[in-house]
Amino acid sequence: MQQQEPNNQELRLGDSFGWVVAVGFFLLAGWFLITEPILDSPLTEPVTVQASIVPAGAFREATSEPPIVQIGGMNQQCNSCHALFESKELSPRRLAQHTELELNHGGNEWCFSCHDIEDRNKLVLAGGEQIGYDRAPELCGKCHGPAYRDWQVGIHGKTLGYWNEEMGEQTRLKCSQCHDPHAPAFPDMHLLPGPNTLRMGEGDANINRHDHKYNPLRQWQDHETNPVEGGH
Amino acid sequence: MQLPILNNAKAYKGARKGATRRSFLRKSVAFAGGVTAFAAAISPLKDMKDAPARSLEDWFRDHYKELSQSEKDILFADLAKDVKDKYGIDVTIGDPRPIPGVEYGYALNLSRCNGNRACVHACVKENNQSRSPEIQYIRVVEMPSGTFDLENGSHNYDEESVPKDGHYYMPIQCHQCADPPCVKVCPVEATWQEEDGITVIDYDWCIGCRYCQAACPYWARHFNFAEPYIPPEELNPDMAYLSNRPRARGVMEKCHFCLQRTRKGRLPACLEACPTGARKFGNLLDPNSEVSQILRTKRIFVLKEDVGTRPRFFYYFDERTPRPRNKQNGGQA
Repeated sequence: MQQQEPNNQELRLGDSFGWVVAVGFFLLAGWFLITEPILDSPLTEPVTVQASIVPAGAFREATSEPPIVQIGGMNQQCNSCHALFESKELSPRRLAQHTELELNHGGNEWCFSCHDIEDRNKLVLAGGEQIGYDRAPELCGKCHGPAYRDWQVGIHGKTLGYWNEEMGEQTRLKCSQCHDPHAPAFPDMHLLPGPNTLRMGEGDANINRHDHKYNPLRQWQDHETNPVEGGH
Repeated sequence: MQLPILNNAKAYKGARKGATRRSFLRKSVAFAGGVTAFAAAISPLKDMKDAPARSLEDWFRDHYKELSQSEKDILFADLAKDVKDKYGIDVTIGDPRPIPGVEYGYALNLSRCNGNRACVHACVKENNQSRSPEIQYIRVVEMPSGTFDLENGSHNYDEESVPKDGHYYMPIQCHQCADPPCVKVCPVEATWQEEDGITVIDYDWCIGCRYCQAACPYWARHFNFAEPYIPPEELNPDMAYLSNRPRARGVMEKCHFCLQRTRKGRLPACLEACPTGARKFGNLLDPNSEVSQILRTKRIFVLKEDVGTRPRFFYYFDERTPRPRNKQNGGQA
Protein backbone atom coordinates (compact mmCIF):
# COMPACT_ATOMS: atom_id res chain seq x y z
CA MET A 1 0.00 0.00 0.00
CA GLN A 2 2.76 2.40 0.93
CA GLN A 3 4.53 1.73 -2.35
CA GLN A 4 1.54 2.74 -4.39
CA GLU A 5 1.08 6.04 -2.64
CA PRO A 6 4.37 7.88 -2.18
CA ASN A 7 4.28 11.00 -0.07
CA ASN A 8 3.84 14.40 -1.63
CA GLN A 9 7.45 15.43 -1.36
CA GLU A 10 8.68 12.51 -3.52
CA LEU A 11 5.86 12.98 -5.95
CA ARG A 12 6.82 16.58 -6.62
CA LEU A 13 10.47 15.70 -7.11
CA GLY A 14 9.57 12.95 -9.59
CA ASP A 15 7.33 15.28 -11.56
CA SER A 16 9.90 18.03 -11.96
CA PHE A 17 12.44 15.45 -13.07
CA GLY A 18 10.01 14.32 -15.73
CA TRP A 19 9.75 17.90 -16.99
CA VAL A 20 13.52 18.20 -17.22
CA VAL A 21 13.75 14.97 -19.20
CA ALA A 22 10.98 16.02 -21.57
CA VAL A 23 12.52 19.44 -22.22
CA GLY A 24 15.89 17.80 -22.63
CA PHE A 25 14.52 15.48 -25.28
CA PHE A 26 12.95 18.42 -27.09
CA LEU A 27 16.21 20.35 -27.15
CA LEU A 28 18.17 17.28 -28.26
CA ALA A 29 15.66 16.52 -30.99
CA GLY A 30 15.79 20.09 -32.24
CA TRP A 31 19.57 20.06 -32.23
CA PHE A 32 19.74 16.82 -34.19
CA LEU A 33 17.30 18.10 -36.77
CA ILE A 34 18.97 21.49 -37.23
CA THR A 35 22.66 20.61 -37.21
CA GLU A 36 24.50 18.53 -39.76
CA PRO A 37 25.75 15.15 -38.56
CA ILE A 38 29.21 15.80 -37.14
CA LEU A 39 30.57 12.28 -37.39
CA ASP A 40 31.20 12.19 -41.13
CA SER A 41 34.80 11.29 -41.87
CA PRO A 42 36.81 14.06 -43.50
CA LEU A 43 37.77 11.97 -46.46
CA THR A 44 40.01 13.28 -49.19
CA GLU A 45 40.92 12.01 -52.59
CA PRO A 46 42.38 8.51 -52.79
CA VAL A 47 45.93 8.08 -53.96
CA THR A 48 46.24 6.74 -57.44
CA VAL A 49 48.69 3.96 -58.03
CA GLN A 50 49.15 3.36 -61.71
CA ALA A 51 48.82 -0.23 -62.75
CA SER A 52 52.14 0.04 -64.55
CA ILE A 53 54.08 0.29 -61.33
CA VAL A 54 52.47 -2.85 -60.00
CA PRO A 55 53.71 -5.24 -62.65
CA ALA A 56 52.73 -8.84 -62.24
CA GLY A 57 55.63 -10.41 -64.00
CA ALA A 58 59.35 -10.45 -64.43
CA PHE A 59 61.35 -7.68 -62.79
CA ARG A 60 63.32 -7.03 -65.96
CA GLU A 61 63.41 -8.14 -69.54
CA ALA A 62 65.99 -10.73 -70.34
CA THR A 63 67.18 -12.33 -73.50
CA SER A 64 67.29 -16.06 -73.92
CA GLU A 65 69.54 -15.57 -76.91
CA PRO A 66 72.17 -12.99 -77.86
CA PRO A 67 70.65 -9.63 -78.76
CA ILE A 68 69.98 -9.03 -82.44
CA VAL A 69 71.05 -5.73 -83.94
CA GLN A 70 70.42 -4.35 -87.40
CA ILE A 71 73.59 -3.59 -89.24
CA GLY A 72 73.44 -2.87 -92.92
CA GLY A 73 69.83 -3.94 -93.09
CA MET A 74 70.66 -7.40 -91.81
CA ASN A 75 70.09 -9.03 -88.47
CA GLN A 76 73.39 -9.48 -86.77
CA GLN A 77 74.33 -11.10 -83.52
CA CYS A 78 77.40 -10.60 -81.38
CA ASN A 79 79.67 -12.93 -83.22
CA SER A 80 79.00 -11.35 -86.59
CA CYS A 81 81.45 -8.66 -85.57
CA HIS A 82 83.45 -10.44 -82.93
CA ALA A 83 84.44 -13.24 -85.29
CA LEU A 84 86.34 -10.62 -87.26
CA PHE A 85 88.49 -9.51 -84.37
CA GLU A 86 90.96 -11.38 -82.33
CA SER A 87 89.95 -11.54 -78.69
CA LYS A 88 92.76 -10.89 -76.30
CA GLU A 89 92.60 -13.38 -73.50
CA LEU A 90 94.46 -11.29 -71.05
CA SER A 91 93.54 -9.65 -67.78
CA PRO A 92 90.54 -7.40 -67.13
CA ARG A 93 90.79 -4.13 -68.98
CA ARG A 94 88.74 -1.05 -69.76
CA LEU A 95 86.55 -1.54 -72.77
CA ALA A 96 86.54 0.73 -75.77
CA GLN A 97 83.17 -0.66 -76.82
CA HIS A 98 80.13 -1.59 -74.74
CA THR A 99 80.83 1.27 -72.38
CA GLU A 100 77.11 1.50 -71.62
CA LEU A 101 77.41 -1.68 -69.61
CA GLU A 102 77.93 -1.24 -65.93
CA LEU A 103 79.97 -4.18 -64.73
CA ASN A 104 79.39 -4.51 -61.03
CA HIS A 105 79.54 -8.18 -60.32
CA GLY A 106 81.77 -8.42 -57.28
CA GLY A 107 85.07 -10.08 -58.00
CA ASN A 108 83.88 -11.23 -61.40
CA GLU A 109 85.39 -8.46 -63.48
CA TRP A 110 86.23 -10.20 -66.69
CA CYS A 111 83.98 -10.63 -69.73
CA PHE A 112 85.33 -14.10 -70.52
CA SER A 113 84.35 -15.52 -67.15
CA CYS A 114 80.90 -15.88 -68.65
CA HIS A 115 81.12 -15.05 -72.37
CA ASP A 116 82.82 -17.54 -74.63
CA ILE A 117 86.01 -16.18 -76.11
CA GLU A 118 85.69 -18.15 -79.37
CA ASP A 119 82.00 -17.73 -80.10
CA ARG A 120 80.49 -14.58 -78.66
CA ASN A 121 76.98 -15.92 -79.30
CA LYS A 122 77.61 -18.44 -76.55
CA LEU A 123 78.33 -18.45 -72.87
CA VAL A 124 80.96 -20.61 -71.29
CA LEU A 125 80.92 -22.74 -68.20
CA ALA A 126 83.85 -22.87 -65.84
CA GLY A 127 84.99 -26.13 -67.42
CA GLY A 128 85.14 -24.59 -70.87
CA GLU A 129 81.87 -26.01 -72.20
CA GLN A 130 80.01 -23.70 -74.56
CA ILE A 131 76.37 -23.22 -73.69
CA GLY A 132 73.58 -21.16 -75.19
CA TYR A 133 72.03 -18.13 -73.52
CA ASP A 134 69.00 -20.22 -72.63
CA ARG A 135 71.11 -22.27 -70.21
CA ALA A 136 72.46 -19.23 -68.38
CA PRO A 137 71.27 -20.36 -64.90
CA GLU A 138 73.73 -23.26 -65.03
CA LEU A 139 76.48 -20.74 -65.54
CA CYS A 140 75.32 -18.62 -62.59
CA GLY A 141 75.15 -21.75 -60.47
CA LYS A 142 78.85 -22.42 -60.95
CA CYS A 143 79.54 -19.67 -58.43
CA HIS A 144 76.20 -19.13 -56.72
CA GLY A 145 75.66 -22.70 -55.59
CA PRO A 146 73.19 -22.20 -52.71
CA ALA A 147 71.04 -19.81 -54.71
CA TYR A 148 71.06 -22.18 -57.69
CA ARG A 149 70.12 -25.11 -55.50
CA ASP A 150 67.26 -23.12 -53.98
CA TRP A 151 66.16 -21.86 -57.38
CA GLN A 152 65.88 -25.37 -58.76
CA VAL A 153 63.23 -26.31 -56.20
CA GLY A 154 61.56 -22.90 -56.23
CA ILE A 155 62.80 -21.44 -52.96
CA HIS A 156 64.93 -18.71 -54.51
CA GLY A 157 63.46 -16.68 -57.33
CA LYS A 158 60.00 -16.05 -58.58
CA THR A 159 57.32 -18.31 -59.96
CA LEU A 160 54.47 -17.00 -62.05
CA GLY A 161 51.23 -18.46 -63.28
CA TYR A 162 49.84 -21.44 -61.42
CA TRP A 163 50.93 -22.92 -58.12
CA ASN A 164 49.30 -26.14 -59.27
CA GLU A 165 50.94 -27.33 -62.47
CA GLU A 166 48.05 -29.67 -63.17
CA MET A 167 45.70 -26.71 -63.46
CA GLY A 168 47.80 -24.41 -65.58
CA GLU A 169 51.18 -23.37 -66.79
CA GLN A 170 53.83 -22.50 -64.26
CA THR A 171 56.72 -20.26 -65.18
CA ARG A 172 59.83 -20.14 -63.04
CA LEU A 173 61.75 -17.02 -63.91
CA LYS A 174 65.41 -17.37 -64.78
CA CYS A 175 68.24 -15.54 -63.04
CA SER A 176 68.52 -12.75 -65.56
CA GLN A 177 64.79 -12.02 -65.47
CA CYS A 178 65.35 -10.48 -62.05
CA HIS A 179 69.09 -9.82 -61.84
CA ASP A 180 71.13 -7.83 -64.32
CA PRO A 181 73.99 -10.25 -65.09
CA HIS A 182 76.45 -7.38 -65.24
CA ALA A 183 75.26 -5.86 -61.93
CA PRO A 184 73.31 -8.60 -60.22
CA ALA A 185 72.58 -7.09 -56.84
CA PHE A 186 69.04 -5.78 -56.57
CA PRO A 187 68.92 -2.01 -57.06
CA ASP A 188 67.34 0.28 -54.51
CA MET A 189 63.73 0.79 -55.45
CA HIS A 190 61.16 3.52 -55.21
CA LEU A 191 58.39 2.65 -52.86
CA LEU A 192 54.67 2.97 -53.38
CA PRO A 193 52.44 5.12 -51.15
CA GLY A 194 52.08 4.03 -47.56
CA PRO A 195 48.94 3.36 -45.61
CA ASN A 196 46.66 6.08 -44.37
CA THR A 197 43.62 4.49 -42.84
CA LEU A 198 41.14 7.13 -43.88
CA ARG A 199 43.33 8.67 -46.54
CA MET A 200 42.96 12.07 -45.02
CA GLY A 201 45.78 14.07 -46.47
CA GLU A 202 49.50 13.85 -46.49
CA GLY A 203 50.05 10.75 -44.40
CA ASP A 204 52.21 10.99 -41.33
CA ALA A 205 52.47 14.72 -41.53
CA ASN A 206 48.78 15.06 -40.84
CA ILE A 207 48.29 12.05 -38.62
CA ASN A 208 50.78 13.50 -36.18
CA ARG A 209 49.43 17.01 -36.35
CA HIS A 210 49.07 18.57 -33.00
CA ASP A 211 45.45 19.59 -33.45
CA HIS A 212 44.35 16.11 -34.64
CA LYS A 213 42.38 17.80 -37.35
CA TYR A 214 42.71 14.83 -39.65
CA ASN A 215 42.23 12.11 -37.13
CA PRO A 216 38.55 11.52 -36.41
CA LEU A 217 39.39 9.19 -33.58
CA ARG A 218 40.90 12.11 -31.69
CA GLN A 219 38.90 15.04 -32.91
CA TRP A 220 36.99 15.21 -29.67
CA GLN A 221 40.15 16.23 -27.88
CA ASP A 222 40.07 19.73 -29.26
CA HIS A 223 36.80 19.90 -31.05
CA GLU A 224 35.87 23.15 -29.37
CA THR A 225 39.06 25.01 -30.05
CA ASN A 226 39.47 23.71 -33.56
CA PRO A 227 36.21 22.52 -35.04
CA VAL A 228 36.22 20.31 -38.08
CA GLU A 229 35.79 22.36 -41.18
CA GLY A 230 32.78 21.58 -43.32
CA GLY A 231 31.51 18.08 -42.70
CA HIS A 232 30.72 16.63 -46.08
CA MET B 1 -10.83 -17.21 -12.60
CA GLN B 2 -11.64 -13.52 -12.35
CA LEU B 3 -8.94 -12.84 -9.86
CA PRO B 4 -6.27 -11.34 -12.16
CA ILE B 5 -8.71 -8.88 -13.66
CA LEU B 6 -9.84 -7.78 -10.26
CA ASN B 7 -6.27 -7.32 -9.19
CA ASN B 8 -5.51 -5.25 -12.24
CA ALA B 9 -8.50 -3.07 -11.72
CA LYS B 10 -7.37 -2.47 -8.20
CA ALA B 11 -3.90 -1.53 -9.29
CA TYR B 12 -5.09 0.97 -11.88
CA LYS B 13 -7.58 2.55 -9.56
CA GLY B 14 -4.96 4.73 -7.91
CA ALA B 15 -3.64 5.89 -11.25
CA ARG B 16 -7.10 6.85 -12.52
CA LYS B 17 -7.77 8.81 -9.41
CA GLY B 18 -4.80 11.13 -10.11
CA ALA B 19 -5.71 11.80 -13.76
CA THR B 20 -6.24 15.52 -13.64
CA ARG B 21 -6.05 18.04 -16.46
CA ARG B 22 -2.60 19.06 -15.30
CA SER B 23 -1.18 15.55 -15.25
CA PHE B 24 -2.78 14.87 -18.62
CA LEU B 25 -1.01 17.86 -20.18
CA ARG B 26 2.23 16.93 -18.49
CA LYS B 27 2.12 13.43 -19.85
CA SER B 28 1.10 14.58 -23.30
CA VAL B 29 4.07 16.90 -23.50
CA ALA B 30 6.43 14.17 -22.29
CA PHE B 31 4.96 11.75 -24.81
CA ALA B 32 5.31 14.22 -27.67
CA GLY B 33 8.89 14.89 -26.60
CA GLY B 34 9.64 11.21 -26.57
CA VAL B 35 8.17 10.65 -30.01
CA THR B 36 10.10 13.57 -31.44
CA ALA B 37 13.32 12.36 -29.89
CA PHE B 38 12.77 8.89 -31.29
CA ALA B 39 12.07 10.30 -34.73
CA ALA B 40 15.26 12.33 -34.53
CA ALA B 41 17.23 9.32 -33.35
CA ILE B 42 16.20 7.21 -36.33
CA SER B 43 16.44 10.11 -38.79
CA PRO B 44 19.88 8.94 -40.11
CA LEU B 45 18.01 5.99 -41.61
CA LYS B 46 16.49 8.29 -44.21
CA ASP B 47 20.01 8.99 -45.51
CA MET B 48 20.85 5.29 -45.87
CA LYS B 49 21.10 5.10 -49.60
CA ASP B 50 23.38 2.08 -49.61
CA ALA B 51 20.98 -0.23 -47.84
CA PRO B 52 20.63 -3.33 -49.98
CA ALA B 53 16.94 -3.97 -50.47
CA ARG B 54 16.43 -6.24 -53.42
CA SER B 55 13.58 -8.17 -51.95
CA LEU B 56 12.06 -9.49 -48.77
CA GLU B 57 13.73 -12.84 -49.42
CA ASP B 58 17.05 -11.06 -49.40
CA TRP B 59 16.47 -9.94 -45.85
CA PHE B 60 15.45 -13.39 -44.71
CA ARG B 61 18.06 -15.31 -46.67
CA ASP B 62 19.80 -18.29 -45.07
CA HIS B 63 23.43 -18.49 -44.09
CA TYR B 64 25.81 -19.08 -47.00
CA LYS B 65 26.49 -22.63 -45.85
CA GLU B 66 22.79 -23.44 -45.92
CA LEU B 67 22.11 -22.15 -49.40
CA SER B 68 21.35 -24.64 -52.13
CA GLN B 69 23.11 -24.34 -55.45
CA SER B 70 20.02 -22.90 -57.12
CA GLU B 71 19.64 -20.30 -54.38
CA LYS B 72 23.30 -19.41 -54.78
CA ASP B 73 22.89 -19.00 -58.52
CA ILE B 74 20.04 -16.54 -58.02
CA LEU B 75 21.93 -14.69 -55.33
CA PHE B 76 25.15 -14.39 -57.32
CA ALA B 77 23.23 -13.12 -60.34
CA ASP B 78 21.55 -10.53 -58.13
CA LEU B 79 24.89 -9.45 -56.72
CA ALA B 80 26.41 -9.17 -60.18
CA LYS B 81 23.46 -7.01 -61.18
CA ASP B 82 24.04 -4.80 -58.14
CA VAL B 83 27.65 -4.31 -59.21
CA LYS B 84 26.51 -3.55 -62.73
CA ASP B 85 24.06 -0.96 -61.43
CA LYS B 86 26.62 0.69 -59.23
CA TYR B 87 29.79 0.52 -61.32
CA GLY B 88 28.44 -0.11 -64.82
CA ILE B 89 30.72 -3.08 -65.30
CA ASP B 90 29.85 -6.66 -66.17
CA VAL B 91 31.34 -8.94 -63.57
CA THR B 92 31.20 -12.62 -62.79
CA ILE B 93 30.68 -13.65 -59.20
CA GLY B 94 31.85 -17.20 -58.78
CA ASP B 95 32.07 -19.50 -55.83
CA PRO B 96 35.20 -21.63 -56.10
CA ARG B 97 35.25 -24.30 -53.42
CA PRO B 98 38.32 -25.75 -51.70
CA ILE B 99 40.28 -28.28 -53.72
CA PRO B 100 40.36 -31.65 -51.93
CA GLY B 101 43.79 -32.52 -50.55
CA VAL B 102 45.00 -28.95 -50.53
CA GLU B 103 45.97 -26.87 -47.54
CA TYR B 104 47.47 -23.53 -48.46
CA GLY B 105 50.60 -22.13 -46.95
CA TYR B 106 52.51 -18.94 -47.49
CA ALA B 107 56.20 -18.33 -46.97
CA LEU B 108 57.96 -14.98 -47.05
CA ASN B 109 61.70 -14.45 -47.31
CA LEU B 110 62.72 -11.63 -45.00
CA SER B 111 66.19 -11.57 -46.57
CA ARG B 112 64.67 -10.61 -49.91
CA CYS B 113 61.80 -8.28 -49.07
CA ASN B 114 62.87 -4.69 -49.64
CA GLY B 115 59.70 -2.99 -48.51
CA ASN B 116 58.63 -1.40 -51.79
CA ARG B 117 54.92 -2.13 -51.16
CA ALA B 118 54.19 -3.53 -54.62
CA CYS B 119 52.31 -6.37 -52.92
CA VAL B 120 50.12 -3.95 -50.99
CA HIS B 121 48.84 -2.17 -54.05
CA ALA B 122 48.55 -5.28 -56.20
CA CYS B 123 46.36 -6.71 -53.45
CA VAL B 124 44.21 -3.59 -53.29
CA LYS B 125 43.63 -3.79 -57.02
CA GLU B 126 43.00 -7.51 -57.19
CA ASN B 127 40.64 -7.62 -54.26
CA ASN B 128 38.63 -4.46 -54.90
CA GLN B 129 39.54 -2.83 -51.62
CA SER B 130 38.23 0.60 -50.84
CA ARG B 131 40.57 3.37 -51.97
CA SER B 132 38.92 5.95 -49.76
CA PRO B 133 38.64 5.33 -46.88
CA GLU B 134 41.63 3.18 -47.50
CA ILE B 135 41.76 -0.52 -46.72
CA GLN B 136 44.91 -2.53 -47.26
CA TYR B 137 45.25 -6.18 -46.32
CA ILE B 138 49.05 -6.12 -46.23
CA ARG B 139 50.94 -4.04 -43.74
CA VAL B 140 54.68 -3.75 -44.40
CA VAL B 141 56.52 -2.93 -41.21
CA GLU B 142 59.97 -1.38 -41.32
CA MET B 143 62.02 -2.77 -38.45
CA PRO B 144 65.50 -1.92 -37.19
CA SER B 145 67.96 -4.65 -38.10
CA GLY B 146 68.74 -7.09 -35.37
CA THR B 147 65.56 -6.39 -33.44
CA PHE B 148 62.26 -8.12 -33.29
CA ASP B 149 60.13 -5.58 -31.50
CA LEU B 150 57.05 -4.70 -33.50
CA GLU B 151 56.57 -1.71 -31.21
CA ASN B 152 59.65 -0.19 -32.82
CA GLY B 153 58.45 -0.97 -36.30
CA SER B 154 56.86 1.59 -38.56
CA HIS B 155 54.41 0.98 -41.36
CA ASN B 156 54.25 4.64 -42.36
CA TYR B 157 57.85 4.78 -43.56
CA ASP B 158 58.35 7.08 -46.49
CA GLU B 159 61.90 6.97 -47.81
CA GLU B 160 63.26 8.14 -51.13
CA SER B 161 64.22 4.58 -51.87
CA VAL B 162 64.14 1.26 -50.13
CA PRO B 163 65.62 -0.64 -48.45
CA LYS B 164 66.81 1.81 -45.85
CA ASP B 165 70.17 1.12 -44.30
CA GLY B 166 69.99 -0.73 -41.01
CA HIS B 167 66.41 -1.86 -41.48
CA TYR B 168 64.54 -4.87 -42.67
CA TYR B 169 60.95 -5.16 -43.82
CA MET B 170 58.28 -7.47 -42.55
CA PRO B 171 54.98 -7.68 -44.43
CA ILE B 172 52.09 -8.80 -42.26
CA GLN B 173 48.72 -9.95 -43.54
CA CYS B 174 46.17 -12.57 -42.56
CA HIS B 175 48.08 -15.61 -41.34
CA GLN B 176 45.18 -18.00 -42.03
CA CYS B 177 45.63 -19.55 -38.60
CA ALA B 178 44.79 -23.18 -38.01
CA ASP B 179 43.30 -22.07 -34.69
CA PRO B 180 41.85 -18.69 -35.59
CA PRO B 181 40.78 -16.47 -32.69
CA CYS B 182 38.72 -14.29 -35.02
CA VAL B 183 36.44 -17.19 -35.87
CA LYS B 184 35.92 -18.07 -32.22
CA VAL B 185 34.70 -14.62 -31.24
CA CYS B 186 32.28 -14.03 -34.10
CA PRO B 187 28.83 -13.95 -32.48
CA VAL B 188 26.94 -14.70 -35.70
CA GLU B 189 29.22 -17.22 -37.44
CA ALA B 190 29.79 -14.85 -40.31
CA THR B 191 33.40 -16.00 -40.54
CA TRP B 192 34.75 -19.52 -40.62
CA GLN B 193 37.72 -21.58 -41.69
CA GLU B 194 37.33 -23.68 -44.80
CA GLU B 195 38.86 -27.06 -45.56
CA ASP B 196 41.87 -25.62 -47.34
CA GLY B 197 42.72 -23.43 -44.37
CA ILE B 198 41.41 -20.12 -45.66
CA THR B 199 39.32 -18.19 -43.20
CA VAL B 200 36.54 -16.45 -45.09
CA ILE B 201 33.83 -13.92 -44.31
CA ASP B 202 30.25 -13.84 -45.56
CA TYR B 203 29.95 -10.07 -46.00
CA ASP B 204 26.17 -10.30 -46.07
CA TRP B 205 26.06 -12.10 -42.74
CA CYS B 206 28.55 -9.89 -40.91
CA ILE B 207 26.98 -7.48 -38.43
CA GLY B 208 30.10 -5.33 -38.13
CA CYS B 209 30.65 -5.76 -34.40
CA ARG B 210 34.42 -5.84 -34.95
CA TYR B 211 35.02 -8.48 -32.28
CA CYS B 212 37.23 -10.33 -34.77
CA GLN B 213 39.29 -7.22 -35.33
CA ALA B 214 39.96 -7.05 -31.61
CA ALA B 215 40.73 -10.76 -31.42
CA CYS B 216 43.22 -10.92 -34.29
CA PRO B 217 46.83 -10.67 -33.10
CA TYR B 218 48.06 -9.80 -36.60
CA TRP B 219 45.92 -6.72 -37.37
CA ALA B 220 44.60 -8.63 -40.35
CA ARG B 221 40.96 -7.63 -40.17
CA HIS B 222 39.70 -4.35 -41.53
CA PHE B 223 36.43 -2.56 -41.08
CA ASN B 224 34.54 -0.56 -43.68
CA PHE B 225 33.85 2.58 -41.72
CA ALA B 226 32.29 4.29 -44.71
CA GLU B 227 30.88 3.34 -48.06
CA PRO B 228 33.90 1.98 -49.98
CA TYR B 229 35.06 3.96 -52.96
CA ILE B 230 36.56 2.08 -55.91
CA PRO B 231 37.11 3.77 -59.27
CA PRO B 232 34.91 1.79 -61.70
CA GLU B 233 37.73 1.47 -64.21
CA GLU B 234 39.89 -0.21 -61.58
CA LEU B 235 37.30 -2.77 -60.55
CA ASN B 236 38.51 -6.35 -60.93
CA PRO B 237 35.62 -8.15 -62.68
CA ASP B 238 36.79 -11.63 -61.68
CA MET B 239 34.99 -11.93 -58.35
CA ALA B 240 34.02 -14.58 -55.86
CA TYR B 241 31.28 -14.44 -53.27
CA LEU B 242 33.56 -15.09 -50.30
CA SER B 243 36.45 -12.96 -51.45
CA ASN B 244 36.68 -9.87 -53.62
CA ARG B 245 33.15 -8.86 -54.49
CA PRO B 246 32.46 -5.26 -53.44
CA ARG B 247 31.75 -4.88 -49.76
CA ALA B 248 29.18 -2.69 -48.10
CA ARG B 249 29.68 -0.14 -45.39
CA GLY B 250 29.84 -1.62 -41.92
CA VAL B 251 31.33 -5.05 -42.60
CA MET B 252 34.70 -6.62 -41.94
CA GLU B 253 37.10 -7.83 -44.57
CA LYS B 254 40.48 -9.53 -44.67
CA CYS B 255 43.04 -11.31 -46.80
CA HIS B 256 41.75 -14.62 -48.14
CA PHE B 257 44.86 -15.76 -50.06
CA CYS B 258 43.12 -14.52 -53.24
CA LEU B 259 40.84 -17.53 -53.20
CA GLN B 260 39.22 -16.44 -56.46
CA ARG B 261 42.64 -17.14 -58.00
CA THR B 262 44.25 -19.78 -55.81
CA ARG B 263 41.30 -22.17 -55.83
CA LYS B 264 41.60 -22.17 -59.59
CA GLY B 265 45.29 -23.02 -59.32
CA ARG B 266 46.70 -19.54 -59.82
CA LEU B 267 49.12 -17.74 -57.55
CA PRO B 268 48.04 -14.83 -55.31
CA ALA B 269 48.29 -11.31 -56.68
CA CYS B 270 50.75 -10.14 -54.01
CA LEU B 271 53.16 -12.91 -54.98
CA GLU B 272 53.01 -12.13 -58.68
CA ALA B 273 53.62 -8.45 -57.99
CA CYS B 274 56.59 -8.92 -55.66
CA PRO B 275 59.62 -7.76 -57.65
CA THR B 276 62.12 -9.45 -55.34
CA GLY B 277 60.60 -12.92 -55.29
CA ALA B 278 60.29 -12.88 -51.53
CA ARG B 279 56.85 -14.47 -51.54
CA LYS B 280 56.12 -18.18 -51.94
CA PHE B 281 52.78 -19.91 -52.00
CA GLY B 282 51.63 -23.46 -52.37
CA ASN B 283 50.11 -26.61 -51.00
CA LEU B 284 51.44 -27.63 -47.60
CA LEU B 285 50.23 -31.20 -48.13
CA ASP B 286 52.31 -31.63 -51.28
CA PRO B 287 55.88 -32.50 -50.20
CA ASN B 288 57.32 -31.12 -53.45
CA SER B 289 55.59 -27.75 -53.39
CA GLU B 290 57.69 -24.63 -52.96
CA VAL B 291 56.39 -23.95 -49.46
CA SER B 292 57.00 -27.53 -48.36
CA GLN B 293 60.57 -27.31 -49.64
CA ILE B 294 61.03 -24.11 -47.66
CA LEU B 295 59.58 -25.57 -44.46
CA ARG B 296 61.95 -28.53 -44.82
CA THR B 297 65.16 -26.76 -45.70
CA LYS B 298 64.99 -23.19 -44.41
CA ARG B 299 64.97 -21.59 -41.01
CA ILE B 300 61.40 -20.53 -40.54
CA PHE B 301 59.36 -18.93 -37.82
CA VAL B 302 55.81 -17.73 -37.35
CA LEU B 303 54.80 -14.41 -35.91
CA LYS B 304 53.65 -14.42 -32.29
CA GLU B 305 54.03 -18.16 -31.96
CA ASP B 306 53.30 -17.81 -28.25
CA VAL B 307 49.67 -16.87 -28.79
CA GLY B 308 48.99 -20.35 -30.14
CA THR B 309 47.16 -19.47 -33.31
CA ARG B 310 49.21 -21.86 -35.49
CA PRO B 311 49.53 -19.63 -38.55
CA ARG B 312 49.93 -20.95 -42.09
CA PHE B 313 52.05 -17.93 -42.93
CA PHE B 314 55.75 -18.54 -42.40
CA TYR B 315 58.71 -16.20 -42.42
CA TYR B 316 62.10 -17.47 -43.44
CA PHE B 317 65.47 -16.08 -44.29
CA ASP B 318 68.61 -17.06 -46.13
CA GLU B 319 71.50 -18.55 -44.23
CA ARG B 320 74.00 -15.79 -44.85
CA THR B 321 74.00 -12.16 -43.99
CA PRO B 322 72.63 -9.90 -46.71
CA ARG B 323 75.25 -8.67 -49.12
CA PRO B 324 75.86 -4.95 -49.59
CA ARG B 325 73.40 -3.46 -51.99
CA ASN B 326 74.06 -2.20 -55.47
CA LYS B 327 74.54 1.53 -55.07
CA GLN B 328 74.86 3.90 -57.98
CA ASN B 329 78.63 3.40 -58.29
CA GLY B 330 80.79 1.08 -56.28
CA GLY B 331 79.32 -1.32 -53.80
CA GLN B 332 80.12 -4.94 -54.26
CA ALA B 333 77.54 -7.29 -55.59
